[in-house]
Amino acid sequence: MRVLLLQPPLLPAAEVTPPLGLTTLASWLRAHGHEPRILDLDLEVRERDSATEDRYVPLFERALSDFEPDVCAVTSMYSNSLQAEHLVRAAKRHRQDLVTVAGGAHFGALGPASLRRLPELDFAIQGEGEPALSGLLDALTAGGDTWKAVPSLCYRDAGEIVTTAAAPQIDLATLPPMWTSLGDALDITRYVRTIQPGSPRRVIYIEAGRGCPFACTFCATAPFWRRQFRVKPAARIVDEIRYLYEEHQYDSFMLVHDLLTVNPKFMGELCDAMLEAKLPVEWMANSRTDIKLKGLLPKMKAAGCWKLFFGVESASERIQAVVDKHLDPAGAEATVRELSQHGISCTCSFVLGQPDERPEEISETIALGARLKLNGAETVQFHRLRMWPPAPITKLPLPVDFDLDSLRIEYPFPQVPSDHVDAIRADNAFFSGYFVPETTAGTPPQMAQVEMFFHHAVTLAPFTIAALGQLTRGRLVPAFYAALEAVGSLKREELSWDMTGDPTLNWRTLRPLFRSLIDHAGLSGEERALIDGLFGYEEWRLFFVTGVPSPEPAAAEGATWSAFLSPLDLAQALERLRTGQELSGELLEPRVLILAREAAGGFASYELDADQLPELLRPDSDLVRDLSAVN
Amino acid sequence: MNVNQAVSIQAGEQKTARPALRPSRLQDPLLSNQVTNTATVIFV
Repeated sequence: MRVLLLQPPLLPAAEVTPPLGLTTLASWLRAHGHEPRILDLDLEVRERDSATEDRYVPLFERALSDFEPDVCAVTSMYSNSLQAEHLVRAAKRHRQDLVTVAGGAHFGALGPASLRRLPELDFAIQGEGEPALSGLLDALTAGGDTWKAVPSLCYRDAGEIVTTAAAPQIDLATLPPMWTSLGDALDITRYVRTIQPGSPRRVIYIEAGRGCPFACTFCATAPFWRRQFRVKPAARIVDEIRYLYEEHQYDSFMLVHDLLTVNPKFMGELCDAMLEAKLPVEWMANSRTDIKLKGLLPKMKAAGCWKLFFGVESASERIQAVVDKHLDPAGAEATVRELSQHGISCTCSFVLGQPDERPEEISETIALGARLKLNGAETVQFHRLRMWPPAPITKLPLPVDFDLDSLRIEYPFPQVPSDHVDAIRADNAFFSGYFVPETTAGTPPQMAQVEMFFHHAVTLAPFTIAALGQLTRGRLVPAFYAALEAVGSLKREELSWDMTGDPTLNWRTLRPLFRSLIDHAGLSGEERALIDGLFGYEEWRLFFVTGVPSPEPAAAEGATWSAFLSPLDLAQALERLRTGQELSGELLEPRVLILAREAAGGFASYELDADQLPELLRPDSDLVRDLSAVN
Repeated sequence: MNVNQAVSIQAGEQKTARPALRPSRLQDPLLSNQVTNTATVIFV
């Protein structure tokens, strides 16, 4: 059967990578005798520079006329489900007998609800898509109503919605080789062309496997894959990497799997296969901070592991138990430090706003996030708890609030039309991912501000946040709420979430609230001097490193260097913060700190006694000559 | 020649005191590639 696999517009980003779920499906369907074609409207709208809401449906209608499929199958990721619905309606307008199917993360988790919402939708596939979709196409080819026997399928029967028994999940070794078996279903060169000139990495997502055995209450993907850990054979993963590198020069691979490292034996096999392949590429994977990888880390690094992703979630052991994650926060710090020693970076993610969470617990979590940044985490993310089905927490009758901010940041287009906001707000059951549970940690607007401010503040000023976390002793978040009262809220559109841009723009946006946070932190005179020194250093360093003129004049500067008159021994203060030691008044000892840009792009740092500053102000001094010679 | 070399040569040639740059023990991850995406860190 001819089947058009539809990816609705997904993200307003310039670089587009192939939609992994649909690509896997296309390769599977071809192996089962069908004729799939992927229409990736995310790619189509970017390629045509027509990233506005009104363009993708006409593009779809043209593809329908060109390809004339028997079946249209659409996927979605929550954020683009409204667009998916518009495509299903357009398909039925095009031809009433065109069969419409929906699956993937959202429709696949809420099959019956999808059919109830959307009269134009004929079938929804629950859970894993490959066997159900090929089974449905086989049955439709055979005719009659044999499709009623297809497993994992939701359909209407005499006005009732029926769900068939779930299919056993497939052995991933039975998937056909991915990229070489796509035929004309997908033209990967169109994706390659979206890579921006000067991109430091040529990134692509490939599937390493599915399923996590853990049962964290907020997690949707573990139950989606029925908590069964499965992997593709290591040799198959390496074959995919080799093909994509050799044919399309992709060199950075996101190994998609809910928890790839949970099986260290498999990780060893994968690393051995990568080492044998000798490819100049790197990869990242999801892990947990309590998975013991220590003996494997050198091999992982040698095999190209660039980064791991950790959900750390909370610094509170109580919250760790509430969410059924049970990580040891101190262990998380040790793991990140260990990775860093092996040259492997990480992203650490936290979930804020459990229903009974206290502001003090979030304060400790933010401070932990800052310390992890200091110990080698490349990125620290704070997310508010949201209700993604089929996560266990979504089964609880919790009072929730609509979260427009999250919708705006995740929406596929820069503007969210008001009728789309209304449609999502009106259906809490289906769009529960855009609702947040009420929490004792703060009001919804306060929590939105916590998420926004601290995400960026930890990125740009991790030492100051770690120090504030330490000195306020659990009162960081209450102090932040007082600062919000004093100077008002951040606006999401004034912050860039694309970290390839100029970070000083975000700094200028944060600055008034940041200063007010310090004012409201209840610091002693000595503590205030320490914080002011750290804040001043981080601001000066940020502007110098990015090459943007600073709002505060430097103590002295040359073409390639800048000096900061610090009220404290910064090197020692930073070391204490990184290792979790207390800051104290004896650190308050003025000195001059100098950063000099090196030709290779790095920075050298030097110190002088404070009374040597006048030497830096004389262009003909030995010190200035030495600094100008830094290379 | 970098500053360290310059300073050490200078120290060897001259016994007279002069203001000297001291390499800092500063360890700041934002001096690596995490802000600019291009710079590399050199901790001195």
